[in-house]
Amino acid sequence: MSRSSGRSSPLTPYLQVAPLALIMLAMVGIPLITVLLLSFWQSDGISIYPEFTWANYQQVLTSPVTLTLFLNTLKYAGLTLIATLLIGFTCSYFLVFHVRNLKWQIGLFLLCTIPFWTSNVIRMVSWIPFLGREGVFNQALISAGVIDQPLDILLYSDFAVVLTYIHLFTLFMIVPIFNSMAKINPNLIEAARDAGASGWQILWTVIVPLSRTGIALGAIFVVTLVMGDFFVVRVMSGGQSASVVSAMKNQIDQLFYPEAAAMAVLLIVVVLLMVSAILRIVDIRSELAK
Amino acid sequence: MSDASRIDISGVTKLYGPVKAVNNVDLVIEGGSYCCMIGPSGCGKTTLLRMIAGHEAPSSGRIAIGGQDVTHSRTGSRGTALMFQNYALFPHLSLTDNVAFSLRVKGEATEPRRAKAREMLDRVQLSHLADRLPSELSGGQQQRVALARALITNPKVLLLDEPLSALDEFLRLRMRVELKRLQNELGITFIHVTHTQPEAIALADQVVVMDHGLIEQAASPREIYNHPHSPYVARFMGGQNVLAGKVESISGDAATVTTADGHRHDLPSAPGVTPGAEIRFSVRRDRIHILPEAPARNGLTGKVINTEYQGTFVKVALDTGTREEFIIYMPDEAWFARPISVGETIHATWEPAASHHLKGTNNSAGTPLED
Repeated sequence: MSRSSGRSSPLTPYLQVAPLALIMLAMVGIPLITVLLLSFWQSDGISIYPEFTWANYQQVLTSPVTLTLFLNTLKYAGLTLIATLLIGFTCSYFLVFHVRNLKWQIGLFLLCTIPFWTSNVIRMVSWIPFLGREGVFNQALISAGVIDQPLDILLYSDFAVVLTYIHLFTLFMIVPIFNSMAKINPNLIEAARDAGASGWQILWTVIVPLSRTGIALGAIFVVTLVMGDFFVVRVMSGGQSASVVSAMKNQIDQLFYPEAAAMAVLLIVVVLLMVSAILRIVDIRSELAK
Repeated sequence: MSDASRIDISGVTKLYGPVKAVNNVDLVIEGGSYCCMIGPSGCGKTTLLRMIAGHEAPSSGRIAIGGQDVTHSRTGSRGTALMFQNYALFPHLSLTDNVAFSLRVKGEATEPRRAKAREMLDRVQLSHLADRLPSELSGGQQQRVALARALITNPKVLLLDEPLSALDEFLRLRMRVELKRLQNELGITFIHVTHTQPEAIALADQVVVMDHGLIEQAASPREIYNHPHSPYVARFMGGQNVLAGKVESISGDAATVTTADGHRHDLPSAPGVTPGAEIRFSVRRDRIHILPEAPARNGLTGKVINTEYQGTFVKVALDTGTREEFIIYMPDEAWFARPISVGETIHATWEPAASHHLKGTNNSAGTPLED
């Protein structure tokens, strides 16, 4: 039973790491290297030639479309981040500081996860009958006498895209923020109140700084998810808007694999920069170790 | 100063559901005094402290500080500062910013408030660590930061919730001296919640002994120690044996009491008792002598069940046939001149003056529960 102690060889730690390392290599490492290789190959829209070229990058980096695509995607990411942050922070705050009863806390937390019981596609598509020209919302507004004409911006618009992102991704914000907030010692809030701080001052000087690990983690989730999406943009904008990945999808459909690969590498670089910017603001590693 | 920091508590009750955590308490704490509230866990001492600080609102009753009714005024605006048991330092702020926190929320500019905070840190001998985070400090240092943070608001009343319980014995004794010195220096009221008797006795001008939401006795340490109000106080504060008996006769204020096993005891002062009444009285453990023969009065006989050397005295525990041990503190010379071994039967006696009639009825064991 106790043969583990004392007899471990220097290889043991490597063997322990090996399974995960192999999976990561096969599932992440190899595809990434393939994409990287592919981005330097030539193609003519019919077939791909394994010959080195900078042409793909030249095209991606010089085309004005690229900038538009990135700005558009960043706009989505920014708006979604702000909205999910506000909603996520408020929900977590309510769950942690107002719902003192653990059973209620768990119950309400599960309620937050209900949308996750169905697939992304169904959750997204179910907005269409609600937001459409003849949809429930427009009908309700018309019958309430608020508007005469149905609102067109509700569906197949940036509004619809961001709304769907918020719906899909808010939970990714709630969970980490809830986790950080739950670790805040209630005495700290009393100590702040004892020092004369008002509710808002407690929020800004104690709760927000101590929730920042969760905020940063949630921001990383939301930003990477939005930056990597193409399906929501395509469906909810009705083909009127494009994101980086939806443009990439078009290139792949037209068999311009190397150009799509170059775009993908650029996207990875941009997302990595964004994540490292977030990590620079909040040292997640040291915070999690506490 | 002294009247401005006087605390009047009248008829204060705190209900948690049907439970009376604090039950109709009246208490006056003189301004500029050091008050220790003591009792076992759940006796209501911390709740009372938190109501003075404003972290709990009384269900009924009135609390005044310096003559001003603060029962419902906001925490942080009533001239109190609370030092938390686990210090509650802000983990994301440096020591300077921790201490300067209350100035920050009052809107004071960064530089002057940091200068004041550093001054305060200097006062608790921590200015060399001003830029560290709380997690980089030892327990004793964290506590001094908490103290500095509480004092920077210039409170009229400093409230301390078991401030020394997280420290080791050595630090605890040092901090105890420090607290007393600080209180003398500042001249403000300190209210200190503890469950350690020597702490209360050593520090306090006024000791408040609580049990089950009630104040059993509020008096000077000497009074509490020598004239406990009830069997509970006598047992809880220690240093006393509690005996029970029936009043046989009275003359003036003096009474003669017979215990269940037939021993007679003289109580020099037991006003108001009537012959035949069942009463309890205490006997100072350090005023008891050992005799070779059973004494006629004011003594008892028992079998030694334990002896413990304490340095300056020896603690001898006797089984006298009641459920309660009878403890004798013998001077060490007396014990070493004639050592007593466990299992021996010995006779003990005391002067009537060493006994004290316990008027109160609270007869609970009074063993402090560990938190």
